[in-house]
Amino acid sequence: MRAIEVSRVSKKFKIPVERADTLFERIVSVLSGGLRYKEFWALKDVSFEVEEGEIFGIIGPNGGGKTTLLSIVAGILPPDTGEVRVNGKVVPILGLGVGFNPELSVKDNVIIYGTIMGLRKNEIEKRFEEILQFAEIEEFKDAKLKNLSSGMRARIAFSTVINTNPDIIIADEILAVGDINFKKKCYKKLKEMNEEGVTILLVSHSTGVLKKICDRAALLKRSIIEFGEPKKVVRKYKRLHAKK
Amino acid sequence: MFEYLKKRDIILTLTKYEFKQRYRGTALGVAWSLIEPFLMALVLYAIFSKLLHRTENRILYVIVGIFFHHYFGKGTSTGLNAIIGKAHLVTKTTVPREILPLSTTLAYGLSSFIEMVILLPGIIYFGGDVRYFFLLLIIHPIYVLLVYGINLILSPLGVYFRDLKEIWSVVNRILFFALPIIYPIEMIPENLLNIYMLNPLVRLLNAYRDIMVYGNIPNIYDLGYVVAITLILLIAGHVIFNKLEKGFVERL
Repeated sequence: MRAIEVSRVSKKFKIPVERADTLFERIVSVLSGGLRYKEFWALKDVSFEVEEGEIFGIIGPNGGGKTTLLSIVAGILPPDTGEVRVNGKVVPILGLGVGFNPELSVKDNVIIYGTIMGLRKNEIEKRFEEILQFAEIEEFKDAKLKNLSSGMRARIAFSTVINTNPDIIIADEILAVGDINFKKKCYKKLKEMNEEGVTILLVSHSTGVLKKICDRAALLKRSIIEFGEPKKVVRKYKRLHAKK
Repeated sequence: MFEYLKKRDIILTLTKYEFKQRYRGTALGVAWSLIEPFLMALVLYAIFSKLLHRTENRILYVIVGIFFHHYFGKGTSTGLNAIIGKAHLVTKTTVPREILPLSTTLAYGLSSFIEMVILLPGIIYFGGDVRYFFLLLIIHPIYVLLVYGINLILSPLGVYFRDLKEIWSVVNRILFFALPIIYPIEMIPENLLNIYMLNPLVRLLNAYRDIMVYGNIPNIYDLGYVVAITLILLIAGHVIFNKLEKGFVERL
């Protein structure tokens, strides 16, 4: 079965030539002949499928539309044309620790973040110990979040997210923070979850990660340039860079 | 359109922590939030009490009016900011967007309810008749829903027009003088009274005074009018919100 089906998705961004974020600017621009936009296609005619239980990697240059594509697959951003079909519960991890409030305690933050990511409150309380254990921060569980380092916060966020029973994880460059040990642990955990049937769609700038853990990959630069074996995709990606 | 109401866990959690954060651990948190409207009431009373010389129990008249308007101002100005202030929840999660204005509205609705209950001993001390005070349990939720309807319109517009905040604070100030807070309704000229009474907040404020100061049962027709306006605002709010939310991610 297919977990994610993306067919002919395009996304156009309109960038106003002059700013019009306020009512005042709007009125001025209407009086002076309407807003002018510069159109720009962030994604053009992108199609691919992710099979259930697969780890699918996306790589590409900055501004290539990776984050836009993930937002569309996650259902956060509506595409201009095309369609996305998803089977199962999607947990998008587009930023770690969204909704964290530094003034509140670790526990409160785990509860907030967990509910936002779609977990029931009593489930979170049940798993709280587990979450702390994985994040290796049991000794700080009563501290306020602001007293923890950014790496620790990322750990809390990651271990909360993986406890949300996802069918599909959509991850954008999430492990940029955290030390080597924790990174390794995270990839191991992702791999484990994958073996239990979780589908993973991830964006990474690391060719190593792509080759090591992905089953298939795609090179994205507004549209899909290369697709298939991670090795082949990475080779093409490197060649793309060498040209510049 | 109302799908989002099923996500009860998210609504409750966000409301709870919004509320908690407002009083950020200070034991006197609620007391602090009372001081501002209270001082305001004292100053205005000192200056304008002459206008109210024929009004029964004028100090409570002013105080209830101030607290009533205080909630409207706070509730709508934080509601206006509900989407802009939580941009990351919009751009990075699938939390239904309506929940953002809903949870701030609920959090501030709850805190204003608590403020009014704290006023109770003071009201009794100044000779208010509180035998129908319990009706606050019906009237305050109506007020909160009214504010929610307004916030459903303001919060998405705030994303498109970043200066709406400034504009709205002026509207709020005008509204203060458009409500009978420092003057009696009798001051409004006879021929303008019909227009004046179109404002649902005027009728709602009367109901608050009825139950908090004068010991009357509020006028049922007035309440019916307020409920009707509230329903219209809620429906219009959902329609507008749904229209505008498509552009959120690109603009935040």
